[in-house]
Amino acid sequence: MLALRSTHRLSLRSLLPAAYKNVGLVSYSSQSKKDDGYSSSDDEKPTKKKDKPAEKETAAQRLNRLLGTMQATDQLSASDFPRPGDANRKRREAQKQEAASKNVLTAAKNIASMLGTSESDKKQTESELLAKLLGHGSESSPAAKGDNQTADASSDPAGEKELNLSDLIVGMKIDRRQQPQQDQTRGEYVRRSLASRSKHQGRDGSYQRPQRHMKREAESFTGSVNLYGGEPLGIFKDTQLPSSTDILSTWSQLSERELSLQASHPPANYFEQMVLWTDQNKVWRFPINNEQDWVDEVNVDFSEHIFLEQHLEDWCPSKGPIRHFMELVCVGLSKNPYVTAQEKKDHILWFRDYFQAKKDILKDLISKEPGKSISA
Amino acid sequence: MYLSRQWRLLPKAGIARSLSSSGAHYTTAAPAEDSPIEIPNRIERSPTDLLQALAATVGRDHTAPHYKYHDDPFLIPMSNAAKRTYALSKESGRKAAKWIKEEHRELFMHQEAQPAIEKFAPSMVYTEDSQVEESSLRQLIAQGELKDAVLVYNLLEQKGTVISPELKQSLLELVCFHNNQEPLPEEYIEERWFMQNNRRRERSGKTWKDGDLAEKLYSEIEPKTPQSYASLIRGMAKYLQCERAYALLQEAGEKQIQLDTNTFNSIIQIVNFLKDTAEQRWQLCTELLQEMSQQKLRPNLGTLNAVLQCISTFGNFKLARTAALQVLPEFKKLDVSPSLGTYYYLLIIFCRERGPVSHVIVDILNDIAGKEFKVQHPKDTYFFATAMDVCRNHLHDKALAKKVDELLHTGKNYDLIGDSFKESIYYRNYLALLCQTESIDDFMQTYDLLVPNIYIPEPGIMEEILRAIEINGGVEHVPRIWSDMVVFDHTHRESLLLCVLRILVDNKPNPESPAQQQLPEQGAKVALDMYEKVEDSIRRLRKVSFTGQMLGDILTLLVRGGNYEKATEVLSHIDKNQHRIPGTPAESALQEFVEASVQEKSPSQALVALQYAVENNIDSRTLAKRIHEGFTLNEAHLSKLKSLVGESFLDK
Repeated sequence: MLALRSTHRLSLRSLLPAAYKNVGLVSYSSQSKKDDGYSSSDDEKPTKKKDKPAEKETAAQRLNRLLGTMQATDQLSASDFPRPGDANRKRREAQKQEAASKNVLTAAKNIASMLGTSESDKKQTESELLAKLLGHGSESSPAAKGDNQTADASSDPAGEKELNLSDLIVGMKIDRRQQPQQDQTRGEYVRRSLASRSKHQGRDGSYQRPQRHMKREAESFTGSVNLYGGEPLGIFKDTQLPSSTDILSTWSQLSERELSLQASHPPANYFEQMVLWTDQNKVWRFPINNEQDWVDEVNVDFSEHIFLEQHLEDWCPSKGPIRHFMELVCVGLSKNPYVTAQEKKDHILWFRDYFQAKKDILKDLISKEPGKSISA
Repeated sequence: MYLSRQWRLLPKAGIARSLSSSGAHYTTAAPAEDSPIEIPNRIERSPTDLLQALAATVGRDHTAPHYKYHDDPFLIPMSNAAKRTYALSKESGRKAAKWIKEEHRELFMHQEAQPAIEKFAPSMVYTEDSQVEESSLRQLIAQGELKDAVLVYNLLEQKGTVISPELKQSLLELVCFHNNQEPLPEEYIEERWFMQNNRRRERSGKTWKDGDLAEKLYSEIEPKTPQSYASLIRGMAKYLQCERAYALLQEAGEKQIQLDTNTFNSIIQIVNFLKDTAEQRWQLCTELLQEMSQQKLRPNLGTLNAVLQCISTFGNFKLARTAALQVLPEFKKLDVSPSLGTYYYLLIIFCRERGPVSHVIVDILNDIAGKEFKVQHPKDTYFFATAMDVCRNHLHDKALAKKVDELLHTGKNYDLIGDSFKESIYYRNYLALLCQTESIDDFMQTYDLLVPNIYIPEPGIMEEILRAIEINGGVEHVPRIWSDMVVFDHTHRESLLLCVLRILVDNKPNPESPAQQQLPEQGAKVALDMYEKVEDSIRRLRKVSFTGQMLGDILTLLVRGGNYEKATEVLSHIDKNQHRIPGTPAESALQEFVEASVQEKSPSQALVALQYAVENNIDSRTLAKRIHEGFTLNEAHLSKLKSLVGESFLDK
């Protein structure tokens, strides 16, 4: 019966609200929190040590410690931010709790009186009910818990495991005392002290860098460094070696171009813009030269553009309409800057071939019109 | 009357002066008889020399945005993000134009200009069935057009054209240099400027394409020439195929193939990938140098920098230092003059975060102050950012920082600042150092010079600046900084907002001093601005939200600046949204508000403040007392007061 009841007690549903309430209460209390947060909480350990096997104790210890730290963090986050309306809420909550605990007390008393017959029975049921309802955090009922424990332990060895856990839960009050140092393992000690240090620093808003910096500065000042006065490596003894040329011409071109690209920035004024365009061959190069980039006409004299009659001499009649026509063609061509001298010549020679081909027709025409003559 | 007389007098005086001066002009031009005229030799100028000389006369205008931005007030970038976006959009416009040119090539075939401008014509497209010759391959290689060159090479292969070994070799070099990947086109200058360190991150691992075209070309070249070895080794070293590069070098050594200095340099650069410990690396490094010496190869700047790069990867600080100090005199003896990249390596060798403090930068600056540098090595652009970082984080020395800055602005050294990323690191360190070490007025001068056109502080630097202002009590600068913060879009940083408010609230302006006379109003304006900004941002679902502290400070500033009307609005906001706003305003804020209410004779507002104080468990006694004394309250107000603080209070 008792064992059963204790398993009930174990169920999480009954556990959690209790723990919660605990946390809530604690967080509003004005005790200093930080120190406590890191001490593990098992105030019942000394008592347990007497009658429980060692391994289970350590398990309990660990769980307790874990819970201790958990609550500590909860606490911090809860109290970090004072919110408006806190005061009201606090007051209301306190009242509610008071009322609730009164109600619970009377209810428990009623039930106990209904169930029990003897005075001691009544007392026990009542205390058990209260222990369950109000949670184990209520510090007013250590007597009840003590009763429970002894009763459980003596009555049923089979339920020992559950009992152990239940003890554990009963013991889950938060220990606010500093835990003796020697109980911690070395590793744990280091870890915690580290954690607390980083917390400290985080709080103060001072970060590590300047501190380290100061320390370093104090610890060593090396003074100036004689960059070139040291003992040379002594590998290259012959300092008169001819400088080696890069055997890869394409590679060196490419790497040079890449290097210059690294030092080139977006143009910062119009002149630089012009430099860029000049390099890209988009504008005239300085010094400006009208004949820049002339490939086919470089070696052509201006006279070949202008005096085109020389191409008429060997075929064109010295007078007459064809001569007249061809002279006009020459004048026109000599004024055209858009075609090359060779093209002009070709143009004239085209006419020569044309007239040659039409020679017969022309002759006919001229013979029909006497007074005009053509010499071929 | 007086004026008209003056008018009449003016031209006469002008004429007289010009006459008298013109006479003097001619007398000065007396020829010096006994100095024969020497005509200097003609100096050959490159097409851009004249332009560059002109460009050198144009300094940087600190008051104007960079030339690349469109000259329109609406389009002046005012935050780092905008700078980047605008510049890159301009470039992407260029890219779009280029795309259209290529896509609709038939529209651009006409050649208006004489001589023709090849850049404006659509580029040649090589396809499977285009007629190609060896000459076109040669041209493509000269232009560095990797993709087309490879395509043309394949076409020539298919057709069975014989390619001269010398051309094949240059193609191998081209492919090795780019690892058979198309490089970023040269003209995308903005993209390169903003590219940051993507490329370096890429390069931390092996990217060499094993068994790709480069190796195929290499295997086709028979017999193996030193050139073919060199190009493959360099390519593998560049793209971190370290083991194979080193193996090839050894193979070449066994076959008695004479390589050149740059090939050795490329292997020295990757020594840290070949060996793990500092001692092993140093050993291999010296071995390679020995080998060079045996082959009678003269080391160059690349060798020096490669050795120093290898040394900079040593974990062993002492070994690194001694090795570096041995290498430098060795190369000095060989007349290798260091570049900025050399000094960059020295800085990272000597000034380590965990090592002892080294003042090597002092010696470096003594060495190079006033010198003008040209880019000679890829790492040259790392020097300035690193030097400033050392000045700030390692030595914390203002004078040194100024020296570095002077060096940066010597001659054309600014070209070596690197890219936008390094430039902003440089200025970030510079400003942060100055704001910690200089008096606030001196600092603000530098600030005015650099911000916003050259550098826009990041929020972290803004915070440092604000802290400096707070420490130096330069509260009169806060409004200016705030307006900058608004422009730079820092207003959604809660820590910055709190900092501004804290400084304004904690430093009550002194009405005596002329600099601070405007301050209350300005403070109120800042507060109001901030209030509106935050409200705005809440509506836009951004991350900032009010805290009680913040609102309290805003309230105080509004009251101090005499903007009571807005102050009441803020208070009602606080009151209405009690449950949404974490934290409460400071008690002093409410006190100042009540005090102002007394001045303004509006008891109802004072009572609102009191009610808020009572509800939020702020000490309300002094407030209530002040209200009771300051006003002659009517019945309604009196009863409200009673209900808030209780009957007992009034009896006292």
